[in-house]
Amino acid sequence: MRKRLAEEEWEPKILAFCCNWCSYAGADAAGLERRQVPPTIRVIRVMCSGRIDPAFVLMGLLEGADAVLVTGCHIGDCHYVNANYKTRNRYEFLKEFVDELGLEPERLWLSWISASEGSLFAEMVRDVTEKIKKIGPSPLRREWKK
Amino acid sequence: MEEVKAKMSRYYLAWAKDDAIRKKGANGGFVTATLVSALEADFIDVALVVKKKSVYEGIPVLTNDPEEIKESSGSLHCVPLNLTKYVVEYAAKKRIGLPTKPCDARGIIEQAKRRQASLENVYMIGLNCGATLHPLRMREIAAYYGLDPDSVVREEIKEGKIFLVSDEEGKEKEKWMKIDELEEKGYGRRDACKSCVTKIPTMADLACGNWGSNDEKKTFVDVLTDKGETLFKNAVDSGYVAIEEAPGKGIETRQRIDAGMQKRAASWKEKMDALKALSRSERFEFYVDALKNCIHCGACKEVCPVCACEEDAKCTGLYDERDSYAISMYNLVRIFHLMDSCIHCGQCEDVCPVDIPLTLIQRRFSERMQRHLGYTPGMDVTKKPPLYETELRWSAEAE
Amino acid sequence: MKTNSSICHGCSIGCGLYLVESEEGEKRKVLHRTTSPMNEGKLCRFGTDLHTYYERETMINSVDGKEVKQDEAIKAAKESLKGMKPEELAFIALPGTITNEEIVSFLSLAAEFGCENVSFGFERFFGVVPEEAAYIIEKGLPFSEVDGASKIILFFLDPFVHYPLLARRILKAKKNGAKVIEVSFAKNERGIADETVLVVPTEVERIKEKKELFEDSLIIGELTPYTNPQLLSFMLWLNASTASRLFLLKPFLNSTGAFLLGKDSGRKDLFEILEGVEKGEIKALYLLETDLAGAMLGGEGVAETTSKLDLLIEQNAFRTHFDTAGITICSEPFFMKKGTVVNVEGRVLEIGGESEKGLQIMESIGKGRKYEEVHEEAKKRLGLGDSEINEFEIAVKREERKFEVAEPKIEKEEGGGAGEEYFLWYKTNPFFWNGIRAKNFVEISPVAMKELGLFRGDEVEIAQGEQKERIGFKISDLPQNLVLSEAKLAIKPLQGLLTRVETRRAE
Repeated sequence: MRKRLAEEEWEPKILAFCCNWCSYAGADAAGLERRQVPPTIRVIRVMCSGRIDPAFVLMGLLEGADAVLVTGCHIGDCHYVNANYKTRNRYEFLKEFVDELGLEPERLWLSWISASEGSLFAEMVRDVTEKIKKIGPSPLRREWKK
Repeated sequence: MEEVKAKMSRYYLAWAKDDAIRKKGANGGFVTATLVSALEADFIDVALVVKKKSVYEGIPVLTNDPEEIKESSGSLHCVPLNLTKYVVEYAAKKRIGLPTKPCDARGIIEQAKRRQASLENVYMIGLNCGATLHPLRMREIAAYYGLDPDSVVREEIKEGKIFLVSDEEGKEKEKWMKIDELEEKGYGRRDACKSCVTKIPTMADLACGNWGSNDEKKTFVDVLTDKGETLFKNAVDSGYVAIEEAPGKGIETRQRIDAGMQKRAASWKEKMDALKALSRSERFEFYVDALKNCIHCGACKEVCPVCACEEDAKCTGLYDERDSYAISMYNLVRIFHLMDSCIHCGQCEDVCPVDIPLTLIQRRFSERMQRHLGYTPGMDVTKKPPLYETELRWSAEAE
Repeated sequence: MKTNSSICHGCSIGCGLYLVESEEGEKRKVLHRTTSPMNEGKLCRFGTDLHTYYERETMINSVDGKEVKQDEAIKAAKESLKGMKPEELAFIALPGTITNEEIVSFLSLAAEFGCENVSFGFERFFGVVPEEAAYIIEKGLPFSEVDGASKIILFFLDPFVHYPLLARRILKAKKNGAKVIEVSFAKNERGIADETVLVVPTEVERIKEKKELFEDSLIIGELTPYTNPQLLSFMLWLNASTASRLFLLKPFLNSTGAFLLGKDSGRKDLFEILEGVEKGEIKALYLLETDLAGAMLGGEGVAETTSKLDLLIEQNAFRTHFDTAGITICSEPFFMKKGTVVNVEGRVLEIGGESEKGLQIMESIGKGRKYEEVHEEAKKRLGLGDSEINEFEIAVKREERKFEVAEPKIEKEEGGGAGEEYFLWYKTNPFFWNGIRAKNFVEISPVAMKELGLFRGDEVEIAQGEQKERIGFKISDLPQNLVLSEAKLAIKPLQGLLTRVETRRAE
């Protein structure tokens, strides 16, 4: 649902793709450890970061996400042999693409988070939220006149 | 080929022995003669050539009739056609020989990398290419020269000039002007050609052209591959083609011309890059503004020589007409998809019904990615993009 | 591999293209023909997919549902037409895929049987247009005039949807410094206009207040069988009372040819004919390459009406939406035809085929002339002289003339029953008239979405009296009460292209 938000109540919307085995568990751990995670995050669980098609990221941005996080297992720890290498390769393309399109590089993140790194996850979300608050809403997000 | 090899050179001047072919073809009819001889010697089943309908119009023809090949000889600068998709369609069933501009050859190689065509079945006789022109722009040039566009009977581009000959009531009139001058005034070559730096098709089997040739009726031939050698040897042995060794001066001249054209193309590229001076947010505005006119006809995908997706494409599959995004998924996915493979041929812009500057947009995105990867598409069939395939690695790699 | 040049029949622009046939002669593919002056090799989606249109099921020759040889079908048609009184007969041809030669033949066929009920779909406008202004509906303008215009008014026209190949001309004009003003119910989503005169559906008449905007402009509008005649008289009045030119595009390729060639023949409006059929006054109908049920809004109703006929003869290359035709005769698809058409710019274009089948069918029922004879007559009546046909020439030119029309009044909408708070606006396009539903959604405003309680993936139900249709939706920047449709719905417009409808969430 698209909703028009007044400027003052604008809160960043951050979309995170988390892999089932590591980063989703990491996000879970952040909750279990009762760490402060800003409510700006929306998590989509995928079986593996290798499943994250660059088109998902683009669609996320078009749907109004102010930033997209691509997260997965550490390199070498992938449950599917080498799929996160593919993630990394795709990210290379995405980075150049987003930059050329005229979006700030801060709108795209790649990080490797293991199941035990709840603190890292929380810290990352805080960090991204802060950065996005500084640069403002994504220009790709469409607002409708009332 | 023994005696050819003994000369320790791969550069030759060559021409058709047959007078009719020599007269009609550009630069001595070497390409036509080679195709005909290849067909006769059963190296190829068919030739894919562009048949002239008028000065401004040519259509692709797949033929095994030597006469039809002979009819199609001579260069046409007003047919901005890319033959890649025809090769893809027919190379599975037939061995094809065809003259290729650098962008045709690069497209075919990219398709071969995607296993859409087997290069074993394709003989590419490369043609040096300064540029093509849109036929209607050529008509404008004719009118600018003061000629009746309908009565133009010949066109030629040489020494950086565009020559047009018209035949008005039996009287021939020739007019010419320097391309640079014309382009200053807004006439001239296609945008993609102006900024194209691949002028000699070094990725084809043979590279032919008049650069470096000392005679208007002799073609300078660069033999590039084993397949090219086979074709060349056959053309010579079968008596269709006469050759002589290319003079050292010619080789230099050819390199000089190539370098000069590349330099000019690079400066055009700089000049035409409307986004160079823009800030990040202005760049974003530019893209949104340009792409909002898209009517999603799908023509750019249809003609794209490096797109191998056919019907089940991601760009069309992920696009939903009901979305009201700032930029449609179709456009984003297409641009994304071509970042490592775009050869900047400009076919997409040629067919865009709303004149989106696609050449510029695709170039902006793909050139920076290709620079990042250190990779140029369409040059070598064995070289895949650096991130194309992920190696199977078992041990953790140091980050 | 065979490459033939051809013309797209999607609209009155007549874009040039190639149709490529594979060696087996099967797969046809569209190739862009950069040389054609109308479109410079560019095509809209209809043109790009034109080959799929030709893959449709072909018509059979039949009499009373039984497949027969063509000669027999022709003979049966001839016999049964002879048995009818002239006033019981009607001939309809929407001039989308018919050549000038076929029009000449078609008209003389009608005359042969003394029939004066001939329709090309536009007759209802004859009463609105004064004699001196007839040139405006007959002939269009060359696109070079659009390129060079200094002020362009888009009159309820979204070029990107209605006539995509016109859009680039307007963009070009804009580049050349033209000011583009749109007069419309909703702002163009691509923002092609520099200025928008937003018209409230119930207050169309207030455009008069903006008359000075039309001074020194090129007004571009559209004329279809569904155009509200009042809207046309409005355009004519604005044109007559300001120093402006009016350029009307039409949905059917050979509209200009049909207008000019059919000038002196007995004509009757399409809707009047259908009414006549309904009343039982007209008992026999000859349809030339016209899939009425496919092309018209509320097609089912049309099919029901025509089932009341004693005799329905269809001449078509493809199967139509009627299954009640008494006699069907199979002609050739458009691209195979030998003959000419006149596009909206006034260019005479050759189709590029070699077949005379369609023409010969009519000639064997009628006068029995040869192609050359008919072709010469068509040329003569179009005033083409002896010069060779050249696509680069504007052969049918128009001269601007002064004329006067009375100040028009737009009558208030009928209908508006309980709950019918929304206005349905059809945006016609090449698919629309060829019986293809290109889009399966309507566009609504974000406010309406909220009010109707819609969510992504939902469907809306649009209803008008008994007629209703369930369809997906898209959000666009529209006025709240407007429903915009590029798809043909089962809802017949009451007045022009704007219809009061009820819109609700489909359960």
